[in-house]
Order: sequence, then C-alpha cells, then structure tokens
Amino acid sequence: MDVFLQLTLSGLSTGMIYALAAAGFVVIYKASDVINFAQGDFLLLGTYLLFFSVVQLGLPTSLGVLLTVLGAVAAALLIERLVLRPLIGEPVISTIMVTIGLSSVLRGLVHAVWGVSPRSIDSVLPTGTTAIGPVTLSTARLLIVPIALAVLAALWLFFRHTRDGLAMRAIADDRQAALSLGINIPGVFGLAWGLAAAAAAIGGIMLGSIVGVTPNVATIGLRVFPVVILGGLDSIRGAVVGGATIGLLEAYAGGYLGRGLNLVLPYAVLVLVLMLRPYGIFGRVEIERV
Amino acid sequence: MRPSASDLPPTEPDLRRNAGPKRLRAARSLLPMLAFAAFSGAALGCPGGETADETTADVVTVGAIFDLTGPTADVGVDYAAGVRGFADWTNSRGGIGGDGTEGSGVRIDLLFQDYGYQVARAEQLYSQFVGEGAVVFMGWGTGDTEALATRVRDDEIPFSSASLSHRLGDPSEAPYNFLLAASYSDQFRIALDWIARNHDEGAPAVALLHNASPFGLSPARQGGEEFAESRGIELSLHPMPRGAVDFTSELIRARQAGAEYVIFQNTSDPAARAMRNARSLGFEATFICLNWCANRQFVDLAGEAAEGVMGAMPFPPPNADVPGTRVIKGYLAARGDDVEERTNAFTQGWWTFAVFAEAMERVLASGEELVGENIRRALEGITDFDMGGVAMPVTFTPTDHRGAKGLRIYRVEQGAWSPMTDFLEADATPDSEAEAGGEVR
Repeated sequence: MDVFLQLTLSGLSTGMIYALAAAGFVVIYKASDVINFAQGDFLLLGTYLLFFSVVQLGLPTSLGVLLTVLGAVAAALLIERLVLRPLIGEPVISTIMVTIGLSSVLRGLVHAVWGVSPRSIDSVLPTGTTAIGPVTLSTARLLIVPIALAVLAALWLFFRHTRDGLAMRAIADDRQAALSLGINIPGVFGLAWGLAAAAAAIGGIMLGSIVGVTPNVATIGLRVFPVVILGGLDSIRGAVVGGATIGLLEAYAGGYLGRGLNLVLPYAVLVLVLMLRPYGIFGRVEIERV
Repeated sequence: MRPSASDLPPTEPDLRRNAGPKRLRAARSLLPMLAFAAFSGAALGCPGGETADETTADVVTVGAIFDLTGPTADVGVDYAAGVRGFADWTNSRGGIGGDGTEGSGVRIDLLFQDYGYQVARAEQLYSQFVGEGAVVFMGWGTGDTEALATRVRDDEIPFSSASLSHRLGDPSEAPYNFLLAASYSDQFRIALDWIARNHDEGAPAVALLHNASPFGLSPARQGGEEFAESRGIELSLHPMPRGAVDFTSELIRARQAGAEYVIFQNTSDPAARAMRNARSLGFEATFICLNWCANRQFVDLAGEAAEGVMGAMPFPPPNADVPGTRVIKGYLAARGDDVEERTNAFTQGWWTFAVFAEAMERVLASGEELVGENIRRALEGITDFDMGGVAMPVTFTPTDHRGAKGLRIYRVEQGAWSPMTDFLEADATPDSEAEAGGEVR
C-alpha cells in the first residue's frame, strides 16, 4: 500500500507539471489553431529565469517567482509580436514550423546564457518529508498538486467566464466571423501566448524545486504531446486529466514493471488514443457534412 | 613531458591555425554543417569547424569530440576543459617535447567539436578530423567509442575516451583504444568487493541504478554480474530513463528487491536527483557513486541528500593537494579560473591527454615519425607512468590497454568528498576487513 501511495504521489505531482505545460499548449491552440512545439522550452525558460532571479540577482524567493513569471510572459509577448504576428493569415503549417525553430532557438539561448552545467538552487517549495501513516512523502511534491490545480482552475475559469476567454474561443471557432465582430485578433493572440508562458513558467518553477536547474528540463516538454493528445488539444480539463493519467502511468509502469517502460508507455497510450478517439477524451469533435 | 609543480603558468593559448587557400576551401565545405549546428543550438560556445594543417614536424593534429550540450554535458564540459587546458598549457611551453621556449617542441593542433552524445555525429566528426590529419583522438561516450573501435583500428588512430568501458581496454578487441583509469567494471568490482568485505551478515543485496545506455550497463555486463555472483551478492539492475523527472519508481523497485546498497552508474545530475528522491522516500541504504557522479557537482546538486554517499573515484578533483594537481592549479590561476569550480572530470581530461602526450614525446625522442602506429607502440611501452599521485601509475602493454586498475573510495562528509581508502585494485585482496575498509588518509 505504501508503495502504491508513493507511486501515486510521484505520478500525480509529475502529471500536474505536465498539465501546466499542456494547458499553455491548449490555450494557444484554442486561440489560434497553432500547435506550439516550443511549449516545453518555456518550462526550461521558467526554470532558468528563477535561477537568474533568485541566485544571480539575489532576490527574495517571492520576488524571484514574480519576476520569473513576468519575464516568461514578456518573452512570450515579444516572440508573439516579432515572430508569430507577421504570420497571421499564413497557412497554419508555416506557424507550426516556426514554433519548431523557436524551440531550438530558446534552448540554444538558454545554453548560451547559462551554460549546460546543472545549477543548484534553493527550493521554492518546502523541502523535507511528510509522513502520512506509514508512508514518507516529499513535501514539495505534495504541494505541487494543489498549486498546479489552482493555476489550471484559474485558466479554465478564464475561458469560461471572461470576455477575453470568450474572444479566444470565438477566434478559434471562426476567425473571419470574429474579425467581423471587431475582436482584436492580434491582441488576443498576444494574450494567449502570455497565458501559456505564465502557466509554463509556474511549471518550470516547480520543476526547479524538485528536479533542479538543468537543461534536461526541456526533454520533459516532449511529454506534453501524449498529454494533450489524450486530453484533447482544446480542453483545459483534458490537460488536467491527460497530465494526471500520463504521470500516473509513468509512475506505475516504472514502479511495477521497470525496464524503462515508464517513458515508453505514454507514447503507446498516445497511439492507442489516436486510434480510438482521435480528438482525445475532452477534445471537440468536428463533423463536416458534405 | 611531465608537468611539475614548478612549471610556469602558461600565456594565453593560441590555437589558431595558419590561414591559406586550403583552409578557405575546407571552411567553405564546412559552412552548411556549421549553419545546421548553429540552428540546432548544438555548437554554441564551440569553435569547432576550423581546419587543420596536417601533422608536420612542427605540429601534431589531435581530434576530439566532447559532449558540451547533450545528456552527459553535466560532466562533459569539465572533461573537455581539462583536455583543452592540457593542450593550451603544453603549447604555452613550446609544445610536446618543448623546453619552455616558443617553437622548441611540436605544437598541438586540437580539432574539437561538441557532438551532443550522438553516435552518428561522433562518427561524422571522427571522419572529418582524421581526414584533416588527426593522428590521435580524444573521444567521450561509451556507445560512440565502441561503435568507432573498428574504424579506429583500421585507421591506426590511438584513441582514448572518457568512456572506461572494460572491453575498450582489450587490445584483441580494440587494439588502438586505451583506458587511463579503472574501467567501469573494475570500479564496480572494487565497490562490490568493498561491500562484500564490510557487510555485517548474510548476502548483501545491491542495486545498480544505471544510465539507460551502453555506458550505464557496462559495469554489470562486462564482468560485474559474474563478480557479484562469485561473492554471493544479490544484484539487481534498474535503468534510469533519460529525461525522467524523478527516479522514485526505480528506487522503489530497488527497495522492493531488498537493496541495502545502491550503486549509481550515471552522471552527476540524474544521480543527484535520484539521491534527493531516495531521501524523500526514506530509503535507508548505502549509496555509492561510480566515477561520473562521484564529484563536487553531485554534492552541489544533491545538497544535504549527498551526505554519507560514497564514491569510487579514479581521479581526484583539481583542488586536491597532490603534485599532479598543482600544475592544474597553476594553469587555472594564470587564467583567472577558480579551481574550486572544477571537478575531477577536469583532472581526468587533463591527465588522459598528458599520457598520450608522453607517448608522442617518446616517439619524437626516438626520432620516429609521429604517426598512429608509432604512438600506439610508445603507449604500450609506458610502464608505471606517474601522474603525480592523481591516480595509480599507468602501465600499458601490448596485451593490456587498461592503464590503471585502481581507485580510492571517498565519502561525502560535511559537504565535501573525503578519502576513505588508499588505492584499491579490482583484483586486490586485502588481508583484513580494516584494510579493506581502508584508513582515512
């Protein structure tokens, strides 16, 4: 039982970080139909901005966290303004290709500025362990789950109950109609990128606390794809469910099966889901009548 | 040429080559590759891609590949700095066989690039540098070094890598590969031997948590499993997948296997992460790092979780006080580098190249041509080469390319690695438990 609990916590906390990255992915897709391949690299950027703020600038942790989120948002807005906005109206594939290039550029910039050696940083979250019955659990991991859920809930509420959220959904649904209604498409795109970067930066901050500041954080971004395919490309709820499912699958596969299957299983699930539910669990099913 | 504590620090390194038409042609041919590398972010900070003069009486061309951006860059960067540092230091003293004055020896022309721990890229760079005249090669990873062994043999290029895979020290399999430190298998056997001799009662259970790669499996697959069985040790293997956020699952499996000892065959970053996970789980075991995580970086990254971890360390960090590190300290000080920022990977890179330079110096002294075959023979003639106490003296023979077979076991005490034992060898059989445990020195 204690093994099961430890694996569950490990899987859930990891899954919630995946969900945060995936939520940013979803926000951009919902607003612009763009699949952002650089989303995982915003996790990396968040981790290193935290290092920059707290270690290199010596700011208090709370200020460092704030600066990290603001810095990631500023970077995203800059990227959207200079790189993505000129592509409005171009085929979606062009934008996707640009995000693939952007992924390499972001990673390269992080390497160039901070190097590739891992860095140590004081955890933003409380260190130590918490005993729950006979089970010893990492306090930081325990805290990651509610924090991530709160951020994801805020994003969900934003889409459901704000004008800007509605505008994003309108643009995703029919860009021409949204334009004719006077919706500021460039502004909404900028907002989407900013929100996506903020979610990823929060994920990066939490990763920095449990994994450390390392270039390997970027590889975690790859796990975003099975998460969003499973949950649905345009669903925040799907990102949560997908993140939790993939995180738990990894943990249980690693703990009960071993042999490195924990990193293979998510992709096996991805293939299976695509075969059975191409739009994901919560994805919108598009039906075209001809 | 043996560096000593009295050696003067170097001047600024000069690795530039003579420009000429040949250089321009080769540079043009490299432009597409450089563009690709820059785009992929893989060559940042790396001046690779320059062309070389072929080896002449005044210059010897040496090829090198480093992992500066890939999954083992956490230790690769410092190793590369050690190799490059030795080349700079040697050139500042006139080159191989030099007497300290400019032009008195053979200058080292070091061609190097980051290969990101990709076997295909390693093979491409190897071909490129050998094509540009490299007569000696300094490599890195186990997978790529093993993949290149046949070509290295055919090209007659003496090759040393940071990989300490046991089979690379067998001349019948890899006649041009040379190991400068205890192989992974030897490190593993020394650790297992220490466990068997110091275990209280019953059969000790050991878990090997290893990088999911040939490098990670090397200690167990190349003699380690048989050794464990012969010593009555219950051994279980647990791959540490690359890119994993944490290793809770692997540690839980190790604990379920009853492991009382956990040995890490991985680099410092993932090993430190696993160590923090282990403390969070309350996993009570003795943890031992083999050489690529037994370093300062591991302690920095793991923090308090590193306390009490043991390490099988063939090379000490540069700040250790032995003659073989004093020259490194002098070099770093002259450059304004902080020796405390360097790890034992730097020492290993420096001294690996130093032994090859010693062989080249012997070739020059005998009046022979500086080519691969002659350098190999010179290496095989090296007996008890003293590296100033940084590692066991190196001996190569035509039938054994494992230069040193011993190491010291260290332990993290108050945030720093402290030596627990003198040099232990894989086939050593100390007479007493106390001797096996070793005196703290």
